[in-house]
Amino acid sequence: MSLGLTDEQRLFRAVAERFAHDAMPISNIRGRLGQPPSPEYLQRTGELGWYAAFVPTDLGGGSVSGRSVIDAAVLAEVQGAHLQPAPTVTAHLFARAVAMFGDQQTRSLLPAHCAGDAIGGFMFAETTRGWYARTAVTAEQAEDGFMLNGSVAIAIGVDTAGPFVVTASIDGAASAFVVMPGDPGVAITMLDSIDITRSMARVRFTDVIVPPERQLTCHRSDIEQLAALAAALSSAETVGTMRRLFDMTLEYAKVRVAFGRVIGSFQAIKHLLADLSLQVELSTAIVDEAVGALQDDRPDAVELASVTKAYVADSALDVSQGCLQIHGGIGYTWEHDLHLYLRRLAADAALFGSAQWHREHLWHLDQLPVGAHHG
Amino acid sequence: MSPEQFALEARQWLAANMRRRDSDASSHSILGRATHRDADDLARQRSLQRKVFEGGYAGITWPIRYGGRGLGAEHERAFTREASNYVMPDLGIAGGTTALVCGPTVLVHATDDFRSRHAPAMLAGDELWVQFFSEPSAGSDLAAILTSAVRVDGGWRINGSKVWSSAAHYADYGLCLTRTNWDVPKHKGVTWLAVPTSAPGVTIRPIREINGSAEFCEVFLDDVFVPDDHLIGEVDRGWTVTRTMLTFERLAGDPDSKAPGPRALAPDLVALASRAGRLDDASVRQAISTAHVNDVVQEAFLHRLAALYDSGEAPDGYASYGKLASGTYNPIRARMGLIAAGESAIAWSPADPDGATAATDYLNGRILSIAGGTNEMQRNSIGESVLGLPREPAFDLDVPFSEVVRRAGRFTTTDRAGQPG
Repeated sequence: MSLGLTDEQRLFRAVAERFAHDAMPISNIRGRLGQPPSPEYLQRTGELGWYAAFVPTDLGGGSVSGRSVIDAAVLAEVQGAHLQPAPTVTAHLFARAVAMFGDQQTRSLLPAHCAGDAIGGFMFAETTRGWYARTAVTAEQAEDGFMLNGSVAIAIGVDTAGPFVVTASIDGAASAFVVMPGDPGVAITMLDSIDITRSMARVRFTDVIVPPERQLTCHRSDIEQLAALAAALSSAETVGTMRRLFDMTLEYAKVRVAFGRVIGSFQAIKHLLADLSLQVELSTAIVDEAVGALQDDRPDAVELASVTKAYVADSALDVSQGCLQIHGGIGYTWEHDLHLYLRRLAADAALFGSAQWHREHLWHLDQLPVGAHHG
Repeated sequence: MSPEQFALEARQWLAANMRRRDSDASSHSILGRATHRDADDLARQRSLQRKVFEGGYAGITWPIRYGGRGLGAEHERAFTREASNYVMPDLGIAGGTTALVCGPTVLVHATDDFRSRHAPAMLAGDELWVQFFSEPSAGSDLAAILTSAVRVDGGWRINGSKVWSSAAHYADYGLCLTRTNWDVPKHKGVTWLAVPTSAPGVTIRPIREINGSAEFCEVFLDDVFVPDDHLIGEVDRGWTVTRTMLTFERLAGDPDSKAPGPRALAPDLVALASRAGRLDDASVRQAISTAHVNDVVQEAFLHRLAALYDSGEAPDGYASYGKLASGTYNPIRARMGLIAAGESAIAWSPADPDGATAATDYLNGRILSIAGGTNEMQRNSIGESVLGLPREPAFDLDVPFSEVVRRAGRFTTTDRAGQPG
């Protein structure tokens, strides 16, 4: 997001960048690899308004510019560029879902969420989505509410100890529930991940009882919208990471000398850099388009979000690979920061639907005849 | 006059003077198909163009004194929108090169007298202009042209040959790049001359292309004389004119930016795959989706490009991304067409032309990665102008061009001792 930003959004971006630079630079991130973000970090980012964009003002939130999707995308890009561990994408989904479809009790979770004390999470697990194998949660009516069973293979943003929303299938329909991490039957297992800048978990639900007021009154189309928001914001984050990795690589190509010249003067390297920067520029363009469409509730917003995720996910891997190639041996060392970006981009490419998943999903959105439904 | 007022005026004029289109049968193909133009059709199209010119709708952005309307790009776009439902003159590729490339270049660089003589004739459809530009040994390295122009009494004598001159076989003039000084570096000794295609010594032959059609030509210039007043720009300083022309050429090649809104998943490829019974193949669906994703992404990029240029934030050379994007993704799209069509793009019944469409699109698939500046040239331009990377060392920039030609003859793989230096 760079075009048409308001002064407030530019200021918001500048403040976020300075915070990332001062409070959680790469050197700090290196010191905490694989660990969840500290409570202090979450609170400070909460004070900066990182989780507030979709929280109503009377509950402690509010967006910087009045255009919350764009605010969120601006932040996502900064976060990606600085490899920040703040779980903003899932936090935004939680806030939006609860604010739109929650009752008074679930909405009362939002002030603590917004302040960074108990940041909400979100996971998609209704069976027809199936972003990952072994992800499926079902809900059935029980005496005192609903009973959830199933598991989410990969969840991000669950290390905040806050509540989370999980989508689930109920009698063939889709719904969503607010779950507390301490609810009996919820088992959260931290995973090892290729991405060591964020933590990921497997979440298992065994006969988890959720009281009726914690069901969100949303339908499949609402979940579809939320998933589109996730794809677009996650892609905005990816673009931030990708652009930073590309810039690092470009700088390296301008100083690394071989055969008596800087390597960026060789067409073999120059042309690869031009191709990679094309993907960075096109990714930026399509993210802007999708974010704008979601902000304005355009009828093509959901489709654009899938187009965006499909393109940006592939580009993330292409750019990662190309940048490692241009760095050569030095890029294969632990000490060099490159691998932190490479790892994060590999995770980004898979989170909230891979390129392959979204390409197939486009057929369903277009209601074209295909074989069996995926998922 | 506001663009809205102009649109209203145009609407009335179009309704009174032009014929409405029968249907909105639009072809998705990325390429204008080559059509053979017989003399009768050409005459009909020229008279239709004259009608538009006399109505005041040719050269909307051109200055009034040269036959145009002196209005803005907004007015031009308004007219294009209004005219989209009418049968408008189709002068083919030569119509495009006249209006979008040669005409604008002439307006920038030719003398006032030359502009007054030729610009109104271009707008009226009386003069079709094409480029005499590339040569068999000068494509990407355009400044290496060998066609020479020698000063003679009252004008210039031209010898050499040109190639890829689109639509030259039915054009009236070629805008011709010649070498007038061999004793200076290559960019510093070239000159532009207007060459009537009817001049003695001009031979034009269509080149049969990979797809069987023939829209490009080769041009032979044998002792062709053109008078002094056919000079465009300054003698030996033609590279400035070339830059102008390349800019117009790049702008002319940009596809129209469409209004945002839902768009169908690559309908042409879906139709191909559907007829071939291949929609239940997940790999085919992935291929078609990839083409669709690339289409939408390129469209989004055009919005970004326009926004960056409107706000003045575009870095030098940024437009090359648009060209590199189409040069990168069009060949991929053509291959996706082959995947969608399967065997029907390999052999088909003459009664069923769908396979032929996919096959032709495949054959044409690399046009945009080669024509109008190859992908490699775009990558150089992005690398150097946008990314700030140094140029590769060059052998041919600071030496007289005659010396460059002499050395090149020695630069072979078997004769290492002969390397320039």
